[in-house]
Amino acid sequence: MWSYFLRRLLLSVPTVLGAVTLVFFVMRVVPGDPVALLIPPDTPGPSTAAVAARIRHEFGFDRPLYEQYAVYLRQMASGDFGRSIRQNTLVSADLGFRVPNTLELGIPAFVLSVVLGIVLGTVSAVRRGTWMDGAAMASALFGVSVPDFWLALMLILALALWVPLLPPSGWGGPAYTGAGLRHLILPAVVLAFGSAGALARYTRSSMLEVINHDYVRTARAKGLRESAVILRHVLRTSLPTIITLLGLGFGRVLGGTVIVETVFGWPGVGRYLVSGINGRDYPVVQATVLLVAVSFVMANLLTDLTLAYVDPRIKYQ
Amino acid sequence: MVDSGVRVARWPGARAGRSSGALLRLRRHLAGNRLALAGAAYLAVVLVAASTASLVAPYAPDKQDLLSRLDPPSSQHWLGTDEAGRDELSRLIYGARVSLFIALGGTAGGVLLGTALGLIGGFFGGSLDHLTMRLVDIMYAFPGILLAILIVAVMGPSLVNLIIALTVFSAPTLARIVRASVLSLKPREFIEAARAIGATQPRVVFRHLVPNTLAPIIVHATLSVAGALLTAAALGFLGVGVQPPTAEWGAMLSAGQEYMRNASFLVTFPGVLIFLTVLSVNLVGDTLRDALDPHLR
Repeated sequence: MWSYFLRRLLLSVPTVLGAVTLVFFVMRVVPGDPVALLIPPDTPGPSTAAVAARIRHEFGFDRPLYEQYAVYLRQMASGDFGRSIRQNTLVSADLGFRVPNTLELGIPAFVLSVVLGIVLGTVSAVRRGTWMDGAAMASALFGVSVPDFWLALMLILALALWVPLLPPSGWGGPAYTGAGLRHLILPAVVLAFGSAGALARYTRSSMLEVINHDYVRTARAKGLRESAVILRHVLRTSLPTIITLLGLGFGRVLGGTVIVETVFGWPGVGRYLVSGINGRDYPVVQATVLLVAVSFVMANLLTDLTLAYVDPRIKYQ
Repeated sequence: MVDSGVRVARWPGARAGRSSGALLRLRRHLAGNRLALAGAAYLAVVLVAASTASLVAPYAPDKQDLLSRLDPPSSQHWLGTDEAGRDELSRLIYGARVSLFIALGGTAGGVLLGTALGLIGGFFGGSLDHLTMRLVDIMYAFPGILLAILIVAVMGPSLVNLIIALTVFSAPTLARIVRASVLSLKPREFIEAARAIGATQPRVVFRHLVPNTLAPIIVHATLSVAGALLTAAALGFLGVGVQPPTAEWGAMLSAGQEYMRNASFLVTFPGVLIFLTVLSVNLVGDTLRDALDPHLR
């Protein structure tokens, strides 16, 4: 198990390195100057060019690309993400504030989507062909087809503007406070919804594969209760698929934060990244992409390791 | 050897039989599924409206009427007017043209790139496989939407760049599907037989492997159109996609957001249209999947 873990961990290093390298070069080789966005060249004043040159020197943009890349790798390895070009704040401090906010939104959304997705998918598979199957799959299809930003706007309209039950946007403090919880509900529901739809569809099809096996029929034939058949035989056999779905759900929620945080004005990593991309704030984009890539790759690694643990055949392949 | 040759000689016939069987299954699935039929009919209407926009749209998409700003739906403007007094229905019809063009173009690009990567990796194996799959892994190291935002933001919000972004967005999954399919086909007897009678590598790939990976490619490509539509609209909504004054569904939704307290129809109609189009593509895609590739059901 340990050698499998180490091999997988080592394999994930080039992936993360490749991702951050790709972002570094893509941001720099394409025309567009972040300093020009900060201080447009036609800004009145005699020292505009001098100030722009000073900023460029400060951030190292006047050095050759390979030198910038070496400095960037050294900084990343030492945990120094530099300063935001636009805000002049420490990127690590910004992320230190925003990561907990994203987790506060992402974890409840992830749990909600997994519970909802697996329950809907299981009910649909077990009650195949009934109205429950139809209703569950219609909800799942709605979930995967509805644009999350539109669902967000519709919920804001209905539950914040027309019937003012919940705040339309913003962060109201930690989720354990009343205001924090009220601010969390809408974005978490929107974030969970699309992901739950996809999970429900996968769960249904994977369970249908198992449900028709002979050993399930045998379990029923020997008089086991339906709940015991589903929990002990069907769900247990579907465990590897469900673990894979958890990894998939994490990825979907992480991707969804970019949109949901922007619509709801949630001060998290997704919104920080979008503002960084729009302002060509290299340090912000590079650090955030590194963070996202590492989380994504680690989630996949964790999924694979759990799969190898529950199904030992995998690690010998 | 002779036996293998006979099998290869029979293969095209067998394939023709199978594809007509798949068509029959598709027809049966469509006929038995009224929702999928409704989805297909809806998509046909949207495609016709988009391609004949100049004929069916009541107004030009950029015709402003500042005296009729934010007018609610009426007999003159069925879906109301936007903040510049432009007819919302006409903009939605012209917007369909842009949104569908980007989504279909991006999916087509993703199919080409993904199939090429999957074929190269699966067929040649070794270091080429390692290289292509690491490339795919790198693309998988971000959520797809993030990669698309990054590409468009860095390269600029032109139609071509949006299509490139959606190509990169949809290619990795297809590359893995095609590679898995090729790996499962490679040891099969008909491929060995083709090689044994001296078929060249391109012939083995294009005459034997590609036709046999078509079903999963078609199914995934159809479902990818839904993802591409949603992503293109999300890019427009975030302001990095199609830029005003060009009509595009996501950008229209984004612009309407500012006025949604008093003119909620500006965010309702573009959203309904995106939703119905994605829903229809998913319904048709599910039916295609059930008919062409029952293993994925």
